[in-house]
Amino acid sequence: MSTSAGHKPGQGKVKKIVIFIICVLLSIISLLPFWLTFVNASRTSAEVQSSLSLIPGGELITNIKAVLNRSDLNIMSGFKNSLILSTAVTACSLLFATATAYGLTVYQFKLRDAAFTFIMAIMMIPQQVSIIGFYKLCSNLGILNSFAAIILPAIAAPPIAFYMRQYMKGALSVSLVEAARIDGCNEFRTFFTISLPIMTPALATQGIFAFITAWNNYFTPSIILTDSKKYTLPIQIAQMKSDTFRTDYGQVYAGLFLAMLPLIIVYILLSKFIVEGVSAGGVKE
Amino acid sequence: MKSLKKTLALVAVLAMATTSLVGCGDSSSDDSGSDTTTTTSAAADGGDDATADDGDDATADGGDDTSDGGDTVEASLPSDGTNFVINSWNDEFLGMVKNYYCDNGEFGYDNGGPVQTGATYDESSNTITFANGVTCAIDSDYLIKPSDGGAYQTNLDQILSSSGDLGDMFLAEADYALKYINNDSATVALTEVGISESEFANQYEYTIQVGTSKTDGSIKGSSWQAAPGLFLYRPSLAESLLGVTDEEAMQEKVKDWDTFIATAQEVNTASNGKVKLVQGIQDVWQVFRTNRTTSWIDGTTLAVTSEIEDFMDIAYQLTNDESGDLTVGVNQWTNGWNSCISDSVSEASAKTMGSFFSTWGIQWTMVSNCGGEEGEEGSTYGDWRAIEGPSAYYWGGTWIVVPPTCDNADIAKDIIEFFTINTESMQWYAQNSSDYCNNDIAITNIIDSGYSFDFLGGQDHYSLFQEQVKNIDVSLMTGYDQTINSAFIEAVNSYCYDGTSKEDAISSFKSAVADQISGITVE
Amino acid sequence: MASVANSRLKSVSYAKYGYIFIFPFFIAFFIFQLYPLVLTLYYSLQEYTMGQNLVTFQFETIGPNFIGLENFRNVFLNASEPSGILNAFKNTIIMWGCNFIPQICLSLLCAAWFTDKRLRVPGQGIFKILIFLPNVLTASSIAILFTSLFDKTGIINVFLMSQLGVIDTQYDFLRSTAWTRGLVSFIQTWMWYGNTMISLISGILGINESLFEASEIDGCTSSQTFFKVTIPCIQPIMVYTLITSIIGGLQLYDVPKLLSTDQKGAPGYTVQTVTMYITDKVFGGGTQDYGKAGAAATLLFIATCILSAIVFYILRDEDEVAQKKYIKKQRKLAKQGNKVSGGLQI
Repeated sequence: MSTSAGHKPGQGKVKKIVIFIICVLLSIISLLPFWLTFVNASRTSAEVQSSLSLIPGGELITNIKAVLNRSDLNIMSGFKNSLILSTAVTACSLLFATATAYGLTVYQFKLRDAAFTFIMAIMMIPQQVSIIGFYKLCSNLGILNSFAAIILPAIAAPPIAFYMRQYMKGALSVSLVEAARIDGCNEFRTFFTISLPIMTPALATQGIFAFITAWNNYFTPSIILTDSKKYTLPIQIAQMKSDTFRTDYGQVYAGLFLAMLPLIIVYILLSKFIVEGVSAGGVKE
Repeated sequence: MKSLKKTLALVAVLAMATTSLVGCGDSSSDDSGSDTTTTTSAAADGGDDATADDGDDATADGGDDTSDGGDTVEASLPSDGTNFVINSWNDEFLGMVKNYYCDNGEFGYDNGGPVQTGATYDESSNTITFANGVTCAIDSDYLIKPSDGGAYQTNLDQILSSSGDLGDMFLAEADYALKYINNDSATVALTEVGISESEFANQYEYTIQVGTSKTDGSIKGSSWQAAPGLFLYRPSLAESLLGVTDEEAMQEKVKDWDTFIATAQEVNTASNGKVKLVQGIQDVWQVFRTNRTTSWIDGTTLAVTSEIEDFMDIAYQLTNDESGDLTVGVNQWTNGWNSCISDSVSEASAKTMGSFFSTWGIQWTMVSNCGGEEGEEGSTYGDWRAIEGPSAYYWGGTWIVVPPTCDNADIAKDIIEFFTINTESMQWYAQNSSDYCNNDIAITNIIDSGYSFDFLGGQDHYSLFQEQVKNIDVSLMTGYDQTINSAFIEAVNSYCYDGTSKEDAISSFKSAVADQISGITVE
Repeated sequence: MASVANSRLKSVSYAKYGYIFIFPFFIAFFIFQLYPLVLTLYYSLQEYTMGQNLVTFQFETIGPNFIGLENFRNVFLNASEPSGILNAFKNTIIMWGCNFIPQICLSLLCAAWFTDKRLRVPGQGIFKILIFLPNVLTASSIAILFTSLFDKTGIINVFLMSQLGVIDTQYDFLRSTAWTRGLVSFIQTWMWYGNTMISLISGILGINESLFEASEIDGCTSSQTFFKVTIPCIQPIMVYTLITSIIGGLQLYDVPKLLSTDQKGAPGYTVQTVTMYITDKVFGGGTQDYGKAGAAATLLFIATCILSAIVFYILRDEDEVAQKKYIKKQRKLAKQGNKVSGGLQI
């Protein structure tokens, strides 16, 4: 500290090292649960029960196979259901939110401002509040236990519409739309061929978030989907808590590992996008 | 078609012959021996029914000849459906239908099963096709909603309150079977699918009692298993910790709750807290609750009687002994509860020396969780013995019920007869699955043929079960038992483990129940 | 670029298309969000139950019959019992508070470090990514993971007993109110502080550079700059974060439900949240009481509304000022990601 380099820079260096160490610790805390999941997924049930270890064992494949072969828990079908649902939800919410944003940006009509104010006002109302009515509605419509009950409501995603509108205001020039119109494009074609491409970055960011949110959604599917063949991954994982008749710790962790793996891979591939996207104002769950 | 009928007629005759033989064999030991003819007719019906293609009236003409007094009933529900829909909370029953009922199943007719049903399972389309061509596509017709946290019941209730279409058949567990059996919009009398009440003669009394509607006295549910319970203990630990070497001496050590607690203390002290006599208080409650004298609901009032408080005292003694917790301290169906049956628990955690389980629990839960095959390291396979324990009890059991929306009465009838009435198929099922079937004659046959179970070191626990099953009293069951029991266990847990006072625990329990069940009075 | 940001969007005489484009959104909203909400509020004033009659054993549906505020009275009848609604609100707020305070402190600290030009923490790109990572994971799998770890027979106990030897009997973490609530709060903090950090970073980066330069010239230390310049400047974002976090916190469901051993808020209903309370009244296995659930949901709705109104106010104020700034930033992103349609940059 008291080197000839001067007091201030030396202190800065120490501070820098301390901060660096803290950051490393925080990163380790972020990673530790996954590492524990991975390590335990690769050990036998007896090993898991006998000691805590940070060194993986050799049973990963055995445990994964055992989980995939379970008769009471079809992870592959959960995976498939989650994929179908999340994709459909993402597509619906993006398409219609962008269309709404487009309508609110490009056209001048009487209810325009009212509509936008309305979207902002309802943006924060979560589904938990109206779940009882929603359940009853689905029951009346006969769409309980169907994917439609999860996908159709995604058409109205106020936070995404709000974001898209804000983004479009800056990114899309009305003169461009007018130019397209002069070229003979009809309104829908203009929307698809002119505005959607401009919105690509916003679509990508919001798409990733919409997908992750849909993938992780436990609340609504756990109430709406009543047939175990339609269960999504989060519901299946919740079921592992109360194993019906058999406990194998290795398998429990292998199941968790399988469920986490796709998200981690996707995250690693898209992390830059995701982290930048958050700063663009995602709404919290 | 003709040749098929011929074959089936032959099967029916064979079936009858076997049953009669069987009947002769045990008539001395069984007081219902005079009913064997009825069984025969039932068996014949069961075998024969597969010929009832497309619901034509061929039903039971083979059986009529032999069934003196066996009154056949006409099904009043239609048999014109195109697919057979079953609601359940797991795929256990599906496995039974696939493996036993389907001719091509692992234990089906083609693989040595005694009764041909004409049903087949096709793996590629994952579909069961019944004798009359009706199908059950498992992906869309076998509906599973796990029973976790009441979800299965909620689902059934929801269907009842909206469309009301409960399919052709659904299953109900002991804890809430009454809720649906007593409810006429959920279930119909089994005579409506053509099963006469005399056919239930070989079922255990208590299972019929549960299956009988309180509103009109008709039989509406039929169970394939009886679920008397026993106390299981590990002889190796009994010897090292208690110096007990045989089953009689062990029974003496747990003959009532006082001695049970004393033994629990002994086990805990001798093992230095590494071994406990029982897994948790929920297991003790499982036994205790069937020995109450009043049920949870008295009229419309939640009855928290002195018996309930007695149980709380026992639970408190077991968990707050001077030497610590005398139980492993785990709730049922948790990972810890499952794993303490095996020997491969860590040195740090306690394992259990004893466990309360009923028939199915031994085959399913204990064998699956004991830690592997016999002789494998950490496995307790073979190191268990069954004794009567502090009192007779039952635990669980599943009833097959038919909702009014059933439009495949013929298949429903045939499946119910196959698993719950026909002695041959039930005995075959019990022998191959180790389940304790709900047919006293079949069980007697199995015992007489020299039954032993190597998980219990070659012990014949069926005889013990057969003793116990006669003592089962289900008069205290209510339709809301599952809801009330789970709230109660939480209250007992908070009394035993959280330092909540007994009064507070009870009042919290009462308000939780009042919150859950509308119309109930708690004082 | 500036011309785009400033260009006034002119109206086009195609008004009906405006309605057509926003129609699907609004119709879906009215059917699937507004109607259920209205229905829920309506139920709160009705007697509406489905379940088995205790005397006749028949399944019966009672109602809907208008009963005024009776449901609210019923909800508050046992409100102070452990399983009652007041406790549900209390639990929710405790678990939220124990999550939010560490969350905001931690994320502010990280945000300050990662934006400090003088500090230049090495590898901060990686740190940001790692700190954010838990946020993308399924809450239910995290809850199950923690249940397995902190189970009475779980790994943590094994570690404490046989490897560290600090305790001699297993400790039942999930039977302890403090531990169970603590774990819920920890999981929430751990999952969300990365997210909050990133929002705060973007807020800080939006502060006019000259302010920092001026403070540097004035000889401020890093911490002085942080407290005197950064914090006041990002106050709106912090208020926004606070409110959205309260709204999110009030909906808390997955983690406490799965972490409690009986899924109803064990130990002793102390981790039962408001949302768990609502769903339990209809999906809990007892009588389905839509009235009571509706009443509880109405209370939650009112709380949410008040908070939403605040957010609405903040957003509206910031709309013209703050949004323009970030759109500018987004446009940069757009430019990078949009090379294909590069010709569109006017």
